[in-house]
Amino acid sequence: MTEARATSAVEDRAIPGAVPANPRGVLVQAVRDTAPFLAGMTPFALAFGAVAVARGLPGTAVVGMSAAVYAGLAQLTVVNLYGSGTDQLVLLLAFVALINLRFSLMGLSLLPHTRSQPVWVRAGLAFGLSDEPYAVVIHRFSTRGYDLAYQCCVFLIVYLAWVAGTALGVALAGVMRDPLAWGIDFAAVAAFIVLLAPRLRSSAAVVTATASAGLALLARRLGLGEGSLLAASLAGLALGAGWRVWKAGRASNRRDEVQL
Amino acid sequence: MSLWTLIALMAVVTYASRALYLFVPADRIPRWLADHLDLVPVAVLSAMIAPGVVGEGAATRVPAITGSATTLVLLGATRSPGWSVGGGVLVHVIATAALGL
Repeated sequence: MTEARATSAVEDRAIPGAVPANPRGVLVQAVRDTAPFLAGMTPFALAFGAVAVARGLPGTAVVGMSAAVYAGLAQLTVVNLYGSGTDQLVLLLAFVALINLRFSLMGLSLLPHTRSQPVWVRAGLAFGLSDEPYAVVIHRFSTRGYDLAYQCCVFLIVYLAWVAGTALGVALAGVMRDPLAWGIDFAAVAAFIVLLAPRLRSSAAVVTATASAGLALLARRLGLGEGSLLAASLAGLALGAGWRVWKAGRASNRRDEVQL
Repeated sequence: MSLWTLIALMAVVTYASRALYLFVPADRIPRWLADHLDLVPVAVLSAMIAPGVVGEGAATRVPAITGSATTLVLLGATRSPGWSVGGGVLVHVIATAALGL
């Protein structure tokens, strides 16, 4: 458990650490950190807007959905199902809940950093929690400490980009060729890689990453769809934690043997 | 069913999943869970990356793998996230165009 305690200790030190910076500096840093993700997300937002209109949804409803729901994968899934005639509310909402359950996992891991904030602030911040902003802020908080202004800036930038990208996609639906055809959306994958690589410093992290990646691919092959993301994350997390506990237990046994 | 009703309920369900952690008091998180929270980003990011790199069709796998490898090499060499992502995307776009995908 030494490894785990060491990590927790690093995070504990990071909690009260308000990063001193002027508001403009924080905004510039937030823009710089989110830029790689925006490059990958914007074509996806454009494509979502165009696809939703092509599926017969009114433009105002498509933009309204992006503004109110703000969850790309869930939105695309519902638009595809709704556009193909599925109108069973419970089924559609079950898909939304399943796809978005990963946000609970993300929120839980942010808790050690955000617990100094009042509940109403955290309730407001919860709305901005999504894949890209989570990846950006958890990296920042783990390495440089918590900063509320930075979190707000990152969440707001990504949110506005998503809604504006959707609106642009709706406006250009008739004239736009497939914005994903050139693979610009790969920027999001590359940005996730950049944020993941520095975290692979312990054997437990490597086990977690390998297991999650492998299980995500397997689950997709088995046809679990977007639910595979949550299932693979949970299973990978359990395996990584199990590995860490086993390793700590083995090290403890060795110490006992040496003392004897 | 009205489309706006669907959107409103989607928003409620999505927000509920995001705000679920608010109901967990920070000091009441079990030790066994708190000890491993640092693995959550690793698990989530890995599960998101894998299908984008090797999960799609065999044809798109080549640009994705070369782009990912370039990103990692540039990250190791420059320590710059921006240059790494930019280089990786550039290689990915060139490989996609070269393969006529």
